[in-house]
Amino acid sequence: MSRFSKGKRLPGAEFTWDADPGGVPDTAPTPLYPAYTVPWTRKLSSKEQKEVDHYRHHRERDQEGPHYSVLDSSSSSAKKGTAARVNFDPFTGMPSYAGRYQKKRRTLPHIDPTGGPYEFIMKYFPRELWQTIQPSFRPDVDMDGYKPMAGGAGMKRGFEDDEDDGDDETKKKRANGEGDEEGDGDEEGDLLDEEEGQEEWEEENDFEDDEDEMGGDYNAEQYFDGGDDDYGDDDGGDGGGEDVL
Amino acid sequence: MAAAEPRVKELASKLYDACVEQFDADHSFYQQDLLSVSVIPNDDVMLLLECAQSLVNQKLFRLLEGQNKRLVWRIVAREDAEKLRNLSDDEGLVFSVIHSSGRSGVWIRNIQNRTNLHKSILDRCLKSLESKNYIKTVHNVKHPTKKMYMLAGLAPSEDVTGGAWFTDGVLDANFINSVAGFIEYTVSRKSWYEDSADRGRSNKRIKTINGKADVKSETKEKSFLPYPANYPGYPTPEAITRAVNESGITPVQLTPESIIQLLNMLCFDKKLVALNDGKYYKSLKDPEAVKASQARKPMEDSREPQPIKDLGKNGMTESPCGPCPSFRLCTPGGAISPETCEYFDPWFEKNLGF
Amino acid sequence: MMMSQHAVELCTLLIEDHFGELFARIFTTLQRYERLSLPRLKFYSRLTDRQLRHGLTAMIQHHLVYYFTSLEDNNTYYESNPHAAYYLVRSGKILNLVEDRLGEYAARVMEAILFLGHTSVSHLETLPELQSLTPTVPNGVANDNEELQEDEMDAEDQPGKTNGDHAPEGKPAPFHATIKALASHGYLMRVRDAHFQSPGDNLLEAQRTVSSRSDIKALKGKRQQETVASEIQELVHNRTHADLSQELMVNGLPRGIKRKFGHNFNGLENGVGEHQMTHEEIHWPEDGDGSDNTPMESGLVVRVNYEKLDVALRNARFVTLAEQDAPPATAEVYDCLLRHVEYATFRCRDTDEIPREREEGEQWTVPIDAERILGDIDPCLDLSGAFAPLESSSQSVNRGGKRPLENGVNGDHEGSDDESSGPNRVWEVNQHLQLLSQPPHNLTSCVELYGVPKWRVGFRGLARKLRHLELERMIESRYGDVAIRVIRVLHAKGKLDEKRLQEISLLPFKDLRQTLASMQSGGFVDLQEVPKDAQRQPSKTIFLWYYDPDRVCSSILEDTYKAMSRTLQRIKVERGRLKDFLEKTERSDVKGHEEEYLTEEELELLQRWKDKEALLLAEVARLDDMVAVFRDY
Repeated sequence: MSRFSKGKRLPGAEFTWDADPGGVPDTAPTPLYPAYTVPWTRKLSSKEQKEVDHYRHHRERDQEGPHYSVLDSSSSSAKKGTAARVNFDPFTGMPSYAGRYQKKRRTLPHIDPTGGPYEFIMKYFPRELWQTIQPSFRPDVDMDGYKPMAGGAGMKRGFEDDEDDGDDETKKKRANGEGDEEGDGDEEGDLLDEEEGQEEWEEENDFEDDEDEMGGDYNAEQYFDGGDDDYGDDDGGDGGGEDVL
Repeated sequence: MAAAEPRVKELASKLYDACVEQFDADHSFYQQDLLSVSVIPNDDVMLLLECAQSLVNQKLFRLLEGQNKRLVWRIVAREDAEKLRNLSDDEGLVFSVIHSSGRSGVWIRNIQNRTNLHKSILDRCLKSLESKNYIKTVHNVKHPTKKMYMLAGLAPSEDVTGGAWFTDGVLDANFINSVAGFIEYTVSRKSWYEDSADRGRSNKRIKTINGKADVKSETKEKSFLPYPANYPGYPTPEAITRAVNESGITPVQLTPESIIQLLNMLCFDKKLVALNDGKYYKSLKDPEAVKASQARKPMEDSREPQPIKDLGKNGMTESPCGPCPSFRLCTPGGAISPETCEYFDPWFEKNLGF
Repeated sequence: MMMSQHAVELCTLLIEDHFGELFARIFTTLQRYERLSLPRLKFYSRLTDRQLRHGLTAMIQHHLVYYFTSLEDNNTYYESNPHAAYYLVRSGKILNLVEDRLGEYAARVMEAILFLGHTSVSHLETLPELQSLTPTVPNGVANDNEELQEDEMDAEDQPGKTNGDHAPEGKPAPFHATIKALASHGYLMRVRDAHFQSPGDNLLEAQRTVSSRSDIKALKGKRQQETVASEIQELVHNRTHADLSQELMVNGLPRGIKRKFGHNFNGLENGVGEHQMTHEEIHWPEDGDGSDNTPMESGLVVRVNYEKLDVALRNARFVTLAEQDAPPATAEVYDCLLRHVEYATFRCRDTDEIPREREEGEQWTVPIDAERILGDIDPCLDLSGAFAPLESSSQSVNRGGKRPLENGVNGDHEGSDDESSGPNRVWEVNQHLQLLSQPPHNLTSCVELYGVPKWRVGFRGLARKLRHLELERMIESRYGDVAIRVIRVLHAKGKLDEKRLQEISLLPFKDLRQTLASMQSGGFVDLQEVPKDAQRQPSKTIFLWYYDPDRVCSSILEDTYKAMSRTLQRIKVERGRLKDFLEKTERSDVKGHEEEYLTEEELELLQRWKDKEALLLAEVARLDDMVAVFRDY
């Protein structure tokens, strides 16, 4: 920041940013990037280096997580909603041997309430998204299938105040197919799978089924059907990464 | 009545002396004030008036019109009266206006307003007074362009000169810096305890110059320790003033007020801090650090990282964007943009070496 | 929440970086239109129904989106949560802080919670990577000293706790003890339903609830207004209150404090040593019956408490202030004091906005006496050598009074050094704290209760000092030290004309004018014209210079956001330059086995890229430090 060293400037120099003595004369058109001495920077302290490493680690986890999704406009491959690569390039974009290791990007967050690392606690989500989390959820039918909803009363909002919970709380816990223990969800999910098939949600379910077939994995391995076993995922890190997370 | 003349003169002289003795120089004398000094026998008003008139004639009294159109007299000092007697009426008028302004001086336009003299006459009067060495022009720091006059014998007040730190109305930066540097170092030496190599329990450290030299020869760097918070030995403004005046760095004796002005400046620089509302001053840097920073030359474009500024750096001073001349115009996708920015590469080069 | 253009840009970049373009698109659309129902959001964002449903669900999970379901029309409205988005950038600092305080495993737990958005403790417990105390090195996660740590694993002793929860093999992790430690420090908070609604909606909802109550309706006039206001406040508080620390603290201290005893501070430099320290250094409280690894209440759902973490990060900044002027030992004593301050401070301030300069009252922390913090100070720390000896050495007796029972843990170190025992040391701690109370920073303040000095911290004033420091750093670097003096004079004295300014600053007119003019064009000082007559002639106008730190702060804050955005955008550019190469290094077969697959040149290129990205990210982090000072502290 030598430019600003005390009292050493020419008169009037303070009125312009780019008055470096010996710089570009005033008559020249202002350059987009006038010469300027870039500042020195402190070296990263060991604390800062650790912070950066933590940050990168956390960011990478998000990026590798099932929610990272891109807007895909250029992929040549497959239908919407499946794992596909961004910015499809006909030269490098074709499937290749090395390509199977290439990082793939999904275009839709993978919402998997039972298999994924995330736990979706239904009462924290608005009702209109419940079916996204639990495809078997029927907005007009109570989860146990006993009775249809009574005009939405009591369950209108996505959540209730703690004080008001009372009976609703237990009902909802059952309703969200999640409860507090892990096992519940599976059981109820299986039970309710039978009710699938309403037209408006067909696409949704298709997608979920796709994903299920893939074992919830979006990685490149799935591009090559049957290739999984041959190219050892045996180190347990590659393909199964998502499970480990 | 002729016989009365010397008597009046003598009485008048006595009256004058009594007035000077018993009243302030700028006192406004009403009739009763003059009588109260008990010079005029029998409180003879007529006699008093005669005496007063005699003094006015000798320019020892000035006659003014006071409240309610009553007559008021003011004393004029003998030496001034002498000067006045040598002056024309106009000159006398101008002289008394300048006189009344005291050490503050008076602006030429104000003299004109007060005397109602024509400009050419006024100029002539001023010239004549100046040539007689009765008055002088002064430089006022507050109004550098105004022509001001003051009696020749007076020293301009600090309001006019700006205090000890101004020479002819211009701030004497070199003088200020040298005195300030001296003060900082002096205060610093009293604010820090010089630690010897062994951090022993001995309380009797030799603090003489020789002692220091010994220590220095043993340890590579001096280390300084702060005093505990209740340390009573921090220097006072008076002590600092004394030290400055004894140091020989100043040709004139500086007053404590001037020194306090400088101490305040040093506090704004966060070089010193005032303790107990300015009763004591403490230096934030130890003597070695003070020396080092005073020896430091401001560096223009340097190849090496500049010594850390006192305040340190932050994200905005060291990222290429903070001081970037094109920062305001920078937008993604624009003519000036993070994609096309030409500053990052030199910045990497400078800070990473590749 | 209204946000400036640059802040929105930054939040969007952060979201995109962490979660991809879909989230970013939803976020910007919501940000632009404030609140939208699903159909409107679909219309404006031009995304498909499925993209939106999946996107919103995931974003709610990460607290990036608020929602509100109206009772009137039964519609659900979505709103962006820029606050949560912004804090993505602070995760590195947060994780490092937690690691520093509570060890590597705690940092891993914290990272899992950051990653999950919110989670029930029972779910968290099942995560594979939290089963073992030693870090599993999952494939694809860069870990420089992988090898070292694996060696370390063998060398380690079995940790004390055996609570064979779900640990498959190796050492069982003190999961519940760690969660309790995190929660009792306040770094975690309970998730409440109301946290999914924006603060604005919570307020409105509380207003509706309160004003419809019959007892409130019965009140009249001013009385009613006052009651309504306080009831609303209370209701919002009841619905959002999420503190876990108080119920979990033991004797006012959080659990699992990592003691520094017997370690010199430089121990942190060394990765292996640090790692080994982790569980040996965690001292679970001795009281109770060793039951600290018992599970937390079942069904408790937690998330990261940024408010509290900001308190801890702010305290760390206060320590750096102390380090500037005071000896290292003093700064360490201060660190210990601030640790106790942290336990009792829930947030950086009570108001949403930082109050204007000179309109803000001081807020004091709980007074703490020296004896209380003495137990946290490394007994090997030389407290007496930091000061010059006072002539009267007898002063050191009889000041501290009773010495508390020695905390058995550090008893061993005690005997060896007879200087550091008893009241003497309490007295010394007081000396250090008293030194800190001096100007210019006045980092502590003493209150005497029953003859015992107690120490507190006026954190509003210190936060202000941090703000001024950041501004002054910029001014110094841009305009030189002359400018700093001018700014401080203006700040202390208010509006001044040039003459008066010169008299105080003792600067030559030429320098003064140039500095003022350039600072004016840079927006740091302003000029006010006060005409003496109606003609407003320049000759009859008084020009007064002034410095308005509030205005400058807010404009610098905007610049800081912008600089952060540009730096993040540049990371993308730099990445793009190396796209093919970096994609290769990120291939699932290469990652984690770089040494095997990459050539030497490639390895060097990779290292250079890592260094370059680290420099840019560190720069972003330093800019974030400024944001914290201008906005959060």
